[in-house]
Amino acid sequence: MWILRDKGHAFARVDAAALVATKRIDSGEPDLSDEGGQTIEVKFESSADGRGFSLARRLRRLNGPDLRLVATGQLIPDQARMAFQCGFDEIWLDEDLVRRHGQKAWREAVSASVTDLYVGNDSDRLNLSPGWDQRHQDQVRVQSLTSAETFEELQKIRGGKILDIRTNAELNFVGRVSHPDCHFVEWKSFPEGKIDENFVSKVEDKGLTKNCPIFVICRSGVRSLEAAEVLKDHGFKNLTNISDGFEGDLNAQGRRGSINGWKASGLPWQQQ
Amino acid sequence: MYQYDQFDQAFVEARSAEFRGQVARRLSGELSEDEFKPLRLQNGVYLQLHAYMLRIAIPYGELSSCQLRMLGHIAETYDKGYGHFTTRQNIQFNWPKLVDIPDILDKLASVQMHAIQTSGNCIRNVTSDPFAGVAADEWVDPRPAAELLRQWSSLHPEFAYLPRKFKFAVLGAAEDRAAMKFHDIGLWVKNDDTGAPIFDLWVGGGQGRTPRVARLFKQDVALIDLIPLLDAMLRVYNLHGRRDNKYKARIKILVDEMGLDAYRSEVEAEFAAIDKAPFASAVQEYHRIAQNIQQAAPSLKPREVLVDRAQWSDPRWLDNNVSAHKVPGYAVVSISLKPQGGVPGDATATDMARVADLADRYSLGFLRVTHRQNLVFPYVPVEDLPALHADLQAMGLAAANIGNASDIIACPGLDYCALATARSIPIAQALSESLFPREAKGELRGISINISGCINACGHHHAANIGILGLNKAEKENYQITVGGRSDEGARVGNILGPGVNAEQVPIVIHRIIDKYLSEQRVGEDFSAVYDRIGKEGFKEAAYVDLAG
Repeated sequence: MWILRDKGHAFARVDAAALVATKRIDSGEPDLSDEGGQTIEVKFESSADGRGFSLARRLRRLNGPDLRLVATGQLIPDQARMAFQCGFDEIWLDEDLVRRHGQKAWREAVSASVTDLYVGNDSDRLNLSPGWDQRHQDQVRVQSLTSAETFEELQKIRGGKILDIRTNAELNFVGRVSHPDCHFVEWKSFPEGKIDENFVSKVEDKGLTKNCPIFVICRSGVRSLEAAEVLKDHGFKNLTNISDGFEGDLNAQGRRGSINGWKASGLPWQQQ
Repeated sequence: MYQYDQFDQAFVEARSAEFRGQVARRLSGELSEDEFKPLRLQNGVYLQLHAYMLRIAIPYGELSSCQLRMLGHIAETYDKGYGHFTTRQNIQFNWPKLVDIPDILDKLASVQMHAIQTSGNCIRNVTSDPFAGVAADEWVDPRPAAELLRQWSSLHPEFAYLPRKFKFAVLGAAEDRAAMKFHDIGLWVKNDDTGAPIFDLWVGGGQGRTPRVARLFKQDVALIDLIPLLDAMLRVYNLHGRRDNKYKARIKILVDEMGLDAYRSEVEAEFAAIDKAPFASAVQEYHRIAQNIQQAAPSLKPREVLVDRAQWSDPRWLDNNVSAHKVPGYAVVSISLKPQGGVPGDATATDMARVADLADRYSLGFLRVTHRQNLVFPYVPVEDLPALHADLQAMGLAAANIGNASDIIACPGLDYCALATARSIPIAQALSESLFPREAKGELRGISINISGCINACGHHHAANIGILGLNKAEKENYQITVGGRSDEGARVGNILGPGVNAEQVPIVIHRIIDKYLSEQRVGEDFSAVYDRIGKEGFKEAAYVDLAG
């Protein structure tokens, strides 16, 4: 068996025993009745039957980003792009399909034409910048909300994520936000204050996509705004800076953590 | 008209390069014919009776003189010197070689054209009103919505392998000049109280062997909801549309079998669950497209110039081929591709080059193509009408029959098509010959005659006042006649008149139907009004008198 992955466009031969799905859905008789497993396989009965692409979008929506979604069956290399754009993570190929189309065709399947897309969708695992977004990226603005407003917003919307860009030292000694979807990527190191050149790709590796709502937080809202602007320049569309940060502004005594900020607003947080 | 930006340009060039690779893989055997078929179809390449056919999109019917010149060049270089304008604002070339097609696609890309999704089980070329942007009865220009749909549907990853083909039409005027209600989804654009565009969506129209008039799906859809709603409509169709029988695979059958209400409620549930964030840029994109179209359009100043009808010794061309323009002092001129005894919709390479020159001289370099297989000059100054008419006469393109009985829609039929069961072109030619003399007397306005060479109905016979369907009965061509159909805003499917007739009898029956209509017609009545009053039986009686079976 062979495996073709969206991330990094990997294409490799693997032991068939390693490829096991927890649930298999035939595109011919789709059954979405019970909850999905960790790895769902969607089998394409023929390359002419495109039901699997719509199934993928539903399954991705129902199960979220952590589901491993796999396409198998009669796909041709030219359909790999569509599969990944519809939310598949992997395509499993038997030896016959690889032999017939050639390794080259499969390897190139996700390369050249993959950016040919006008409109994105919520299942897009490739985190592309579709044509419409590219054209209107200059109109994207980083929004600003206080910690309290952010907390309220997170209750209302779906899929909101917090991105904490403080240093590891701050996280460990000051505390951090308690939220099921909070991610930590250091923006500037301590004590050098050096910007991490790989910041954007590290954010993407955490599963934060260009479409998902991201609320960026630092100590008091300055560094997080810088980081959000950088993400904006890389095609992220849904960014909010938490203006008072985790600790908030200095009080009359020159201390933080009492006037405003996530901690002082009485919002859930934890010490490491 | 819409001007490509770098993204659009790179997009069509990449498609052309990709298809070149696919052709090479087919020729080397890596792709089987079964696997290659959807790939070639999605690039407009059909296999017909004698050769490959290439269908090129003219999105929502808009064409520049430079693009028309390129089509003429392609006809001359890669085909037998002619092309065929279709009923869905495409042009077909009947004789290209497969190995040449990647080169043709490159040349098309160089003038901002393509053949993407003009065939196959995917979202096809989006069609619209050929008078878009210039019609006197227009409330919203439909082109920005049509272009938005073109971009949304191009290489849509989810909908490239649908149960069956999928056709969109977009309108923005009182009159339906695009047969919108015979499309899988039709959009009727209006303005709300604030001047923002809103959309009425119609679903499930189509022709073929199960003709259906589209039904109203949802009214007053806001622009921000449009694209995710269309995604939801197509997703439900992709998941539930039948794949066991290609003749029952269109969305019209799904809507029939599920029921419109059940289909609508599943779509609404899907729509509610879709994350709208990825579609947020659609509104800005609509406005960017609208501005792009506006910038490229000529700015016409209203002028007080009136048509002097007294100048015209035979004003039929003026009456039939010239329509009101939204800017006073200008006219919208239709150029008939239905000369006496001609092949409907055909144009030679020479015609294309000359018409392109005329478009530069009289219409600021802009043209349109219509679903009735004619051409349109959208920006003709009223004082130029006599000169344009004289030039068209010199080229043999001044047939004054737009909207008349001899303005016949016909598919290629058995002369070209692998699906056809009978010829349609010779029938159209014979009818045209006999209708022209009657039209010279001015008596056949406002009658539509359409001819299909098989039950798939590419010639729109269901949607005509008088429809002709070519069948094969005991190895002989047999023609079934329908009456009462119409494709305008009052769309309706025609009724079968009675037993089929042979090719020689077709003109006899058609003339009898027309005679009956004229004898029954009261002041102000068109064919449909007479049909409503006397019904099928009135026509049937007249048509079959003394007709040998």
